[in-house]
Amino acid sequence: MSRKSKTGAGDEGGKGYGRRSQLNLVDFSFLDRKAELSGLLQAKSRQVGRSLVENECDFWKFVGKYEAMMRSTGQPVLPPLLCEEELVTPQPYHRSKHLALRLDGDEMFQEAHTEVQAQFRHLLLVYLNFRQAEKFQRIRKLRQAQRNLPIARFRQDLREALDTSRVVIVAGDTGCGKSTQVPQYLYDFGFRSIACTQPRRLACVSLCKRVAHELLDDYGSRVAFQIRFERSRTQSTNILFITEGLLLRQLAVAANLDQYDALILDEIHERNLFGDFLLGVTKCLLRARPQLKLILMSATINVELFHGYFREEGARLVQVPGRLFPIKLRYLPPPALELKAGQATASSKRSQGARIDPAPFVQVLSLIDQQYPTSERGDVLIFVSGVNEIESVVEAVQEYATQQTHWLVLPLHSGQAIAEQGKVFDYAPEGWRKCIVSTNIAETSLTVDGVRFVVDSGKVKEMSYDATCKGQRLKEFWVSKSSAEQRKGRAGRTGPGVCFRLYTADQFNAFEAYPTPEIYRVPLDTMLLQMVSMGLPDVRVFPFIEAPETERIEQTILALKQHCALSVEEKITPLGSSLANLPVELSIGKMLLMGCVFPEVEQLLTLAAMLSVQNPLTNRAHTDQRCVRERQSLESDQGDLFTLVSLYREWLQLKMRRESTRQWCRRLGIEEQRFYEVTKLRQQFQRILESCGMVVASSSGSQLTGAERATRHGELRQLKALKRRQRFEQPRQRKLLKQQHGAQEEEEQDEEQGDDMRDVDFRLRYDHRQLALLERSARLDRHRDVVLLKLLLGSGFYPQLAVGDEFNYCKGGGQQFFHTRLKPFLLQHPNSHFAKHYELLKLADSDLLPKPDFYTPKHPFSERHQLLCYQSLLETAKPYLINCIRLPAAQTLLLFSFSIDTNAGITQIVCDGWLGLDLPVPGSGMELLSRAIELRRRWSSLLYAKLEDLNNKQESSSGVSDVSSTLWHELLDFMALDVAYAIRRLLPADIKRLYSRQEPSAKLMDLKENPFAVDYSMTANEEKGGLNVSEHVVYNCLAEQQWTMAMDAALRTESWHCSRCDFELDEFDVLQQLVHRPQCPGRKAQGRKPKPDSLVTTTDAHPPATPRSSNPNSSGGYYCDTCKRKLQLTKIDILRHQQQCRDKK
Amino acid sequence: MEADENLVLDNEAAEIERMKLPQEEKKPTDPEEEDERIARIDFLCSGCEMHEMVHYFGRKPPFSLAIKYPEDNYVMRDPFQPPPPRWHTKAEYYISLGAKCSICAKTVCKDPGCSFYYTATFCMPCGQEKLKNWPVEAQARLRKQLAASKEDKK
Repeated sequence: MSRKSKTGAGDEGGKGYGRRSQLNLVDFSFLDRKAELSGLLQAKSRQVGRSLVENECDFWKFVGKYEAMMRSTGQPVLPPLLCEEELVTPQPYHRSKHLALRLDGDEMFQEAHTEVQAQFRHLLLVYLNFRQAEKFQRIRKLRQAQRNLPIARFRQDLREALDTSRVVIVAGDTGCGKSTQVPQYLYDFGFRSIACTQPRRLACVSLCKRVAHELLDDYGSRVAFQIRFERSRTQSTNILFITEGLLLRQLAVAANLDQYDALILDEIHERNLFGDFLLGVTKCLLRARPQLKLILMSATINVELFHGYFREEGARLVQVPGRLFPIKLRYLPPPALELKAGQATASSKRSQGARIDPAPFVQVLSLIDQQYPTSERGDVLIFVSGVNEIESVVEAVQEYATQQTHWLVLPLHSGQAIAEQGKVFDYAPEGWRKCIVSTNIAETSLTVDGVRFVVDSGKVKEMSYDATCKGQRLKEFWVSKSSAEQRKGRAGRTGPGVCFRLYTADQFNAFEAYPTPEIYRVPLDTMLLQMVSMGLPDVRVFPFIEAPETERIEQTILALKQHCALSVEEKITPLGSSLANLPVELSIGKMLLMGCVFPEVEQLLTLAAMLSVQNPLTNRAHTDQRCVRERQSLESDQGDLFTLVSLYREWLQLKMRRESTRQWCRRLGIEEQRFYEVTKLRQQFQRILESCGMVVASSSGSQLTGAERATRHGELRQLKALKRRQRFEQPRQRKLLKQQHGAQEEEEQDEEQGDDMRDVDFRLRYDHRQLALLERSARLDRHRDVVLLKLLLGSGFYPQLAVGDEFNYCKGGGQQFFHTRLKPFLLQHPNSHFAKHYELLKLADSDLLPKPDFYTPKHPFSERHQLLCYQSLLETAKPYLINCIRLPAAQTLLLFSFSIDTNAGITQIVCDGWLGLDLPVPGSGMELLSRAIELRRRWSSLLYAKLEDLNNKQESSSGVSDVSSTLWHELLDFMALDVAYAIRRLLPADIKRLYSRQEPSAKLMDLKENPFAVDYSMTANEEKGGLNVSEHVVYNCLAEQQWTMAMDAALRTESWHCSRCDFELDEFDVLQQLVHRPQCPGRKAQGRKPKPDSLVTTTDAHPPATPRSSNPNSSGGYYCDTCKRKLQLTKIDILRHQQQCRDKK
Repeated sequence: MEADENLVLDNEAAEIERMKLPQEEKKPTDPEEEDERIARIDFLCSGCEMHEMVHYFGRKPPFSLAIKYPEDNYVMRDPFQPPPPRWHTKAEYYISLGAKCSICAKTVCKDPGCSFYYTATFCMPCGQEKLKNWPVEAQARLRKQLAASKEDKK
């Protein structure tokens, strides 16, 4: 053919478009001369060889199709080409007279000489013209789709409403187009700075992309989003999608949001906490900003509520009907109870107790199979209440799918990896049906198209908040009517559908009208604190759309006062305003600030960031034995939080070695996204703390060397190129779902091949040095770091403490109960480390010590009692403690308790009226309490000095770091004190006769100086009796017990001499000892010297409390580091020895 | 930078003066005003009311590569492609939305329902007027187009 075509082409020499022999496609094809003709596609350009077509492959495909079409329509002979003059005359007809485009010969790289070349050029023009038409239609289709949205007919209504009122409510069902169109309408109306809030980050990003596309600005920044850690906003941005939380933060900074001329609050019907808060704030804002326009958008749920709320502002309502196809409704309650009971016993081996019965769901699927042929497309969406329920149903449907093989089962819930969630949007192959089993995430947040059948269990799991025990509860409820209707509506988005309700119509009628707003279901502390810090004088008068119970507000205010975030007059304190600045739970904010007085906060930042993200361990991490095994070596005895940090460290080390972390995470069952979040969050904490001067800016000055800089430079260029490429890539397209089994691994490999953009981002941000710093901050192998961190965690979590049940010692793993002050009988979450290794929380037999004779109560006596501090309390099937750490009980209680009561001999201490410590070893209570008071006051005065400095905008004094490192060491010493005691929970009966309620004795009133805290003036405590001796401690208010009196009597017969100086007392008198304590010359000499770094190497200037020294039962002896000898000495002799040793040196 | 050659002049002061003025004039204007990447020309189809902002009206858009139009067209930069570096061009980085009817000068878009091209752009009414003088092939094609667009509207 090629030879023939050459002769056919003939006439090679001619120039111009003269009459030459014609090309006949029967024996000629341009495709055979690709190599030779390609040059003709090029334009003149500085870079030689710039093609006129976007995609040459596509062009050659077009050539092939064009030739085929010409041949098949009987026009194989290409007509001679016309010159420009001929093209504008109507006669005679020529196809090319329809082409409204010309090539610009001057700009072409080569001239077309031969007929083949000229015809090829012409074909190029035909192609370009075709592409023009294609692109034009793309824009037109886009506009048509916009015009066809239900909201489009209300554009004018909206405009008029905005002209006459400052508040407009747009109510329309999902799919009416309000979220994408209303911001654009506002832009068209002339608003140039529009903020649109969204409850979810994902929605911000996807709406931004969509609206930018519709404004034909995919590659510009007129439309932008701003979410935590990420924003695309520039100076030229006109429409901004922002999360509710972030807009609230902006409000706190720039009180009036002057940067916006229109504010859209979307999805307000969801009634989440931030949404409700924003409604109230914007209501106030309207007064301050007369030109601001406010648009509220909601589904058609309870619209009257919003309309009524903004009535006095003259709110206008624009109601947009949704676009729904008819949906057939069928009530299919599960068969009668007896039948179910029969089944349940049969299959009860596998499904224990409360698991749901998946049979009704499978029955509906089989009903669909019977009544609807698979040739009719349409997928199934099943709503159940939670992840466990999803698992049971998925399992059952998969079993069913082994017979009816056209089913593809896909779970969908918020705990999944994002890529996994994405699968529900893929297409099922012809003749197959997807069966998506979902939580209520698919009710409003995620929209899956192509669903024809909805199966509604009618159940939802909802978090509720129990203010009395400060715990959250995840419980299953019937959904509300409006939720049930939303679920139903999901069947009619793309065509007529069917909704199967697995309950009766009567049950439906008994449902609540609307779901409970979040404000009734979560703690209010962060929100109220934010309100006060925004300058609201009295939170009680805040215009809530639906106010929470007054009692809860009062409780929250009280808790804020206890945390010292609010003053007694309910004004914000320096601590409070710093807390409000931190975008985290109060407890985490507090530990960050408490930690700021210490010289090193690096690890604390990492730990706090880890606490603030969702658990990185997926469900699979606990169910898949391979994951469990892989993780085992990194498990920490200190609890899950510490395990997570060591996993994070491992991850960072992989990053440092430039290995793939994605695979590693998958192998261990870790959701990698969370680790990226930890990194970002940590950086945010650091920035905030640095910007408000709480910590010294990190000396990232550890400069890279020249060679390192060069490598880094090369790396950055590479990474930026990757990033650019990704930015201009098309978003993930919907794919055809692969047919079950085995597909999983393939897909994972698919994923593996693409660039890991999160990794690229990460590497762009962190060079090798920074990475090393980060890695160091996740190192927790020094014991003293762990102790301090646990202490800081405890300071934040307090008063969330739990104590083990007294009978735990004789029980197995499943029955280890714990009690908090407000709620008894809690458990460790079964996946937690402490649930599996519960012996860590128990006293070992070797920890039990013999009791002094006069101590008669039966409570175990030990130096090793532990308490749990927990992050939260969550009730699902059972009440669980979440994120526990274990701490030495007495020390922790004395450092953090709000109220500490003691008797005259300091042998009994009661903390917060629920935990009692018995300290029958002479002097131990005094030592512990005095030191605790002293440390605690120093710690808080350091913190307040720092906060005060900030308020006065002063540089923190240089001496602080010295003082704070001393404090650090002394805290560590304090935590390591070995004191033997018993701990018990007080019963209501105990509490009744706890206090003496007697005025302090004359001897006490005669005290000239407060022996616990010199600068705290003592007052009588009228309620409990005794004396207030510090902010938190009441001395001598506890009524004496039999054993304390016996102990007192026994001791009185002995004399006492001070262990640090020559001071002696004839009689063992606690009060006299207390008075002596601050004056003791030995103590003063050893007191405030800063100590060298490590505990282990500390020899001199070490406080007397070397491990076990305060314990008379100890038989360990004393090892002197200075003279390298082991000695059997009493306490006082040890001190003397130390002195001598040092003097000798 | 043609100015480079002009700089070699005797009267430097005058030259500086001359160069200064335009700069001062420019100052108050918004830099965005000069950004040729922003669409500022209104395009409104008289047939279907399609309304877009375009970057260029004429025959040879500066951002196009080696093509031109036989008549004045409303042309926008291709929003579906990543933009080339500023002042550069790129393959197929242009979309013509429409032109003026060669008879009545109404603006019409490229949709088959609004305009017809045969040697020049015609709006549908003018095209129907004009078609008697055309070869039968062109007449057939216009009729087909009319029928199809009517079908579409139903």
